[in-house]
Amino acid sequence: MTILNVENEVLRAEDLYHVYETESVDGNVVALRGIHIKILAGEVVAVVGPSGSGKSTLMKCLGGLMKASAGDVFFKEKSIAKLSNAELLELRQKTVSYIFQNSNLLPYMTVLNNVAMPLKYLGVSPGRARKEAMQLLDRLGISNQAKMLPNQISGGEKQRTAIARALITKPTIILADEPTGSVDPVTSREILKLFKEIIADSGVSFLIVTHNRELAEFADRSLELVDGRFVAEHGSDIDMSNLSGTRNIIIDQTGNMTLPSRVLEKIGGPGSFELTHIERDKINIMRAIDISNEPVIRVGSAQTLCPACGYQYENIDSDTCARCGSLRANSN
Amino acid sequence: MNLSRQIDNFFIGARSAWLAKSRGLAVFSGVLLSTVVLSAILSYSNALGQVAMQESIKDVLYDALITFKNEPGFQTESRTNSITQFSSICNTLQSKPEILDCSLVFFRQGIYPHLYDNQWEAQEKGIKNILADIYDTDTTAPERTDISWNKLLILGSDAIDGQLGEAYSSKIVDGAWFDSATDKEVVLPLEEASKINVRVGDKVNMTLSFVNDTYAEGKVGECKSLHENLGRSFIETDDSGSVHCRQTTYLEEMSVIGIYQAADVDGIDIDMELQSRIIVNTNALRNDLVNDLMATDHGALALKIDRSLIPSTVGDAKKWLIDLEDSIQGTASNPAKYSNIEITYSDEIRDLLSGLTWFIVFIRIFDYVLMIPVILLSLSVLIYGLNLALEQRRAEVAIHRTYGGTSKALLGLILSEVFLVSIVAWVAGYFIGIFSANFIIDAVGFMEFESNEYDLRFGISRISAAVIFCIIVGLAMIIAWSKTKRFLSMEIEEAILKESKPKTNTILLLINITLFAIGLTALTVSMFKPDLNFTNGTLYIIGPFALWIGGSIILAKISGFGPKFVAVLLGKTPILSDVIIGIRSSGLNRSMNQLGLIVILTISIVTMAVFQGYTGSLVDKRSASASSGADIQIIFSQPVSQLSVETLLKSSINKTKLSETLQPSGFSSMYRDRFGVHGQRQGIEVLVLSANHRNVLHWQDQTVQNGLDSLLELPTLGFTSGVEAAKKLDLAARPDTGFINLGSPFEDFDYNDSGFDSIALTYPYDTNNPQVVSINYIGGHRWVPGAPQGIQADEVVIIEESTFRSLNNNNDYLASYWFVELCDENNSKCRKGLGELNSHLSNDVSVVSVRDWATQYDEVSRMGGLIFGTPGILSLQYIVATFATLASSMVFLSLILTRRKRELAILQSIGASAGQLSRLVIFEIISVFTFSLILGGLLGLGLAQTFTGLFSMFGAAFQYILQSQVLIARELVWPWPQVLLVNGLVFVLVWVALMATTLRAIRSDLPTVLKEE
Repeated sequence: MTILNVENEVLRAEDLYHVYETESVDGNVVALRGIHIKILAGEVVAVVGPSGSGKSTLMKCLGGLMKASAGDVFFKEKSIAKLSNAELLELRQKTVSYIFQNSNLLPYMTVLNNVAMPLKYLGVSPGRARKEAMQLLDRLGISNQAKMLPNQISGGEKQRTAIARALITKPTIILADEPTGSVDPVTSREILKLFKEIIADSGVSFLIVTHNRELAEFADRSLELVDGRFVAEHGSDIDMSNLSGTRNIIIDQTGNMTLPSRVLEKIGGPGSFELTHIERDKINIMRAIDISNEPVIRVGSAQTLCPACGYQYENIDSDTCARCGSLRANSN
Repeated sequence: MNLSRQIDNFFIGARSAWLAKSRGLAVFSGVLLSTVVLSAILSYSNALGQVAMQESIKDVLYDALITFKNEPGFQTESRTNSITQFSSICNTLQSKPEILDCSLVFFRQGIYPHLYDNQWEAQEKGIKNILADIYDTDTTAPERTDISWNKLLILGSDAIDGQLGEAYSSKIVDGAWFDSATDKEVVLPLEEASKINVRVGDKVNMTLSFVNDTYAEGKVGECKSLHENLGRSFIETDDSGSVHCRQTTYLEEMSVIGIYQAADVDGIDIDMELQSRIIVNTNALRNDLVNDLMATDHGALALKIDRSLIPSTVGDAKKWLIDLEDSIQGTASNPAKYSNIEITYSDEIRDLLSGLTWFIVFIRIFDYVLMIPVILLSLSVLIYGLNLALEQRRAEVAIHRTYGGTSKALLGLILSEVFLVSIVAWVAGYFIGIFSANFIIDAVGFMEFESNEYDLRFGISRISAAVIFCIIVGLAMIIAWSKTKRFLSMEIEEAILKESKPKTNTILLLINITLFAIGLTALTVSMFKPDLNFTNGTLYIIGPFALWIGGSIILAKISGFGPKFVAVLLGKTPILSDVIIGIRSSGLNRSMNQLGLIVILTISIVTMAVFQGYTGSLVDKRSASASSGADIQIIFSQPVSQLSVETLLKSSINKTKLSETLQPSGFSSMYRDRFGVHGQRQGIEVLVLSANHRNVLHWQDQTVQNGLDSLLELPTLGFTSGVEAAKKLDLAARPDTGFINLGSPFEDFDYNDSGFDSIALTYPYDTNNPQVVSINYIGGHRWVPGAPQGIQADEVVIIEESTFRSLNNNNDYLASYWFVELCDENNSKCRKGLGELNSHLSNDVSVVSVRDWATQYDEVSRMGGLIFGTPGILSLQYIVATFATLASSMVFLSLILTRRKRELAILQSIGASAGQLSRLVIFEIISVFTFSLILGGLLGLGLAQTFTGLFSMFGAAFQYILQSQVLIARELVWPWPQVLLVNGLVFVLVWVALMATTLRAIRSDLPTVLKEE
């Protein structure tokens, strides 16, 4: 794992909130709730978590594709909230690149032009841009497909093209949203291998939103996002099938700590806790009021059934629904 | 942006437009349609101007005359008496590309100003013509007092052939034109031949007279020697008192080789009188006589210009003609000299063209007004297509931005693509538009085309082309620019995911409701109270457009309920029961509603064009009927009996190739005389119709005030009266319930129920002891079918033969005007036969003129009937609207369905079969389309009715401008079978297009769609 070093910081987000306005009777959806994150040069960070936890929203807010409702994102100490449109554009041209789950290739441009386009926007002449794009495609092993249209190539080739497009401008950081989400396991492994080569060659940082175990294991660290908050951090030994095994609880810069639902349940639910011991890197807490004679408040007491799909949890000890992946407990 | 980047943008744009065919086609079809419409309208309007110009000068046999600039005796070096030298000017002139022919002719002495009362005055025109008198070869030359002089044209040997000779020979109706190898021949105008009862092959003697000297007032004595030397010479004194000495000579044993009929030319002046002269050529004259004519200043050079070089607009044509005149004649300070000879160039066609300026302006105003709907329609298709096409770029723009696409670069990329497609579409549309004007100008009725005889240049000025380019490509670029700017102003994520929500613009909705209300008011007025006053006139002008625009938008909203209606109607049937939830829950998107709007706009135009087109054709037929009066109308120089007419007709029919088709089945005559009326000192003009007139004359409901049935009362001492005659006779006029009020001459009538219901008619007029009969007033008449020129229908009363017989002691009477029923004029053979029969009858010397229905109809319809150019415009509207419907259905629906692929894919993924999906989509689309079609059809009916007011206003104005004697009211006809056929055809075409497009979209690989989306 890379040692954290402020001088090497590529991206930092502080107290990031995002609210989706909806016409639903339940009101607006709060997708991010005070996110803090730092990514260092050459670091690979994965964001894991159940569906609907806010992973994609986080990536879009970090990359400036969407304005966060509150909080700020810094690239090399530059606040994107304060960037002019031109500076934001320059950021996208030179600093940050994106890889999407569905590739998002331009449908009526050839693979070559798709890859060359960002360079052209940087002011490189069309001829040179195409030449560089061709070299990159050759390196990624898809130069034979250069003249083809996106609908004429396979899913893996599309994703390689998207990776090439992200790399062509030699960015500082690549934000990848489920980059292996729409490809088969074999292709997924190929992409992972490609990422490793890229990092070895260029030292680019990666923020990868993923469900993929191998991709998460490939990351220097994985941040567990639950219901819009980072609840825990995992190392490269992350076990995607049982996150509690590798979990380190996070206390963020504002002192907030969020317990995963199963942990909360294990300590008997919410309540008032006394700090019985405090020293550097260590705290002990104990419930202040004995609740042994009171009915046990199970978090999400009706949660023998999944609220999203109605799946019967029974006695399985898991944070997420085995059927639909929804968060099991309401951790508010 | 540097060049390589710009080229790269164009390359990417071209490739993108080519690959995204639906998107490219949407832009292409919008630009193409708009360009076709605008360039076709302008080119057509231009061609109409040329037709009007060519029509106005087509009967002018020559284009210009050249005479000496200076009068004899003044600057003698600038003149010549040498025929050879004078004629040699032609050699110089004919080297100019503008001059087709130049020939020496003799027809009058030169015109010069003369001094009168110490003031220079213009010399009276026409006084010094060469004159001729024709008489039998057995007759001694009559005394001067007994003869009637006719104007003579003597053609030089070069004028017999060539363009000038061809112009005259084309007017020969009997016999032949001169052959240069023969002499002592004469060609006569038809009227003259009829008057002196001379036929082709006859020999005649002629006395020729020309002025050989002129003296000031009072100096008659100077011409005495002339009298003495040449017995028939005489002195002529003009209004100014000048004395002209006329020398005469004789041309004997001249063979009449041809008879010609030159059409009258409006605005005739002295020079134009070359149109209908007795014609001989110099071969028939002694050389010394020809030299005398030259020496006495009777020579002139007649020019034929290459009219195909004359510019197509009146202004340009006039300037061109002035430039030509200047180049030939020179200027006052610098006159052109031809071996010292100075000339005067007299243009004969410029003045005729000048008179057309306002007429053509009027035509164009009307044509442009009439084309407003179709222009707006084409622009709507353009805007709609662009919106649809660009909306599909929203996500692409966002992706570009994700990878650093700058606003400038993205604008450049999208504008390049739109510009490229627009340019290609514009060029294609421009040429198609220009080319289509070729066909539109051939329209002789609604969707009826016949090739025309005009020499037309199709095209538009560079300025017009530039304006069209700026409007259409500019509009496309502005829309593309604003749309792209909007995409760029969105957040990237928003642009990728969301579809823009339609915003309800309340103000716009209120404006449309107001327009619809105004349109409905105009519709109501045109149906129930079509009087022409200021308020109604204003409504007639703005009403149709308000109805069309407001109505379309409001009705398009209603058509959106189509699927719900279908759901209610067919929801429980096996056809839809399994997909009814899908139909109910499918919120029709904005694009589909816009397609509904386009369908309503187009179908309403199609429907309106059909109704008004057929109405126009009917009006043309009525105009032809009013003009000819019957299948054929023959006017004789002397009153003749029916037997004579039958004999002549049979022999003429036998000369035609269609004698079997032409079978005389009824004869009717028209006798005109002045009758006395008790209480009226001056009597009244009366037209006597023979008993069979109801079977032969083409009466129409509009013709008589109280309907055609009222004519049944004519045999029982009934009479009808024109409005002026009714006033004069103080008749008990009744409200003209039988007329269309608009433009009715009876509208201003001072209704007077206390007036007379009957009058006492006396005959013969102006005798002491006339016969008297009391006749009963049965109502007014607006015109008399086939009334010959000179008869003002307003001022006559009509009685029938039986009434007349009671006044002339039951004697037979002869008539000069005869009408014959021959065949069904809807039959093409009949029409062809009537035209042929016309020319054979015209050749008979006893016949003054012949009018047949087919020729009249051809003329009326070719000239656009009541309103110049309307058949072409309505046909163009129909074609454009049909094309717009098809384009909208195929191209736009394809785009709409592309946007709905994901919805369809989801339905398929949850178990909907391909058949269920097809039914779901097809019923939804077809229901909107069918609803729109029905509503568009209804709107079209309303439009057709509302446009009637506008047509009537312009039609009446055109008839007034063209001085038409018969004002035909434009009664809207409802040709339901044709309308159903035409709209049905459009419906089937569009239905097939919809099905094909929908099925193609549904058959696409939906799982792939789902995955990719």
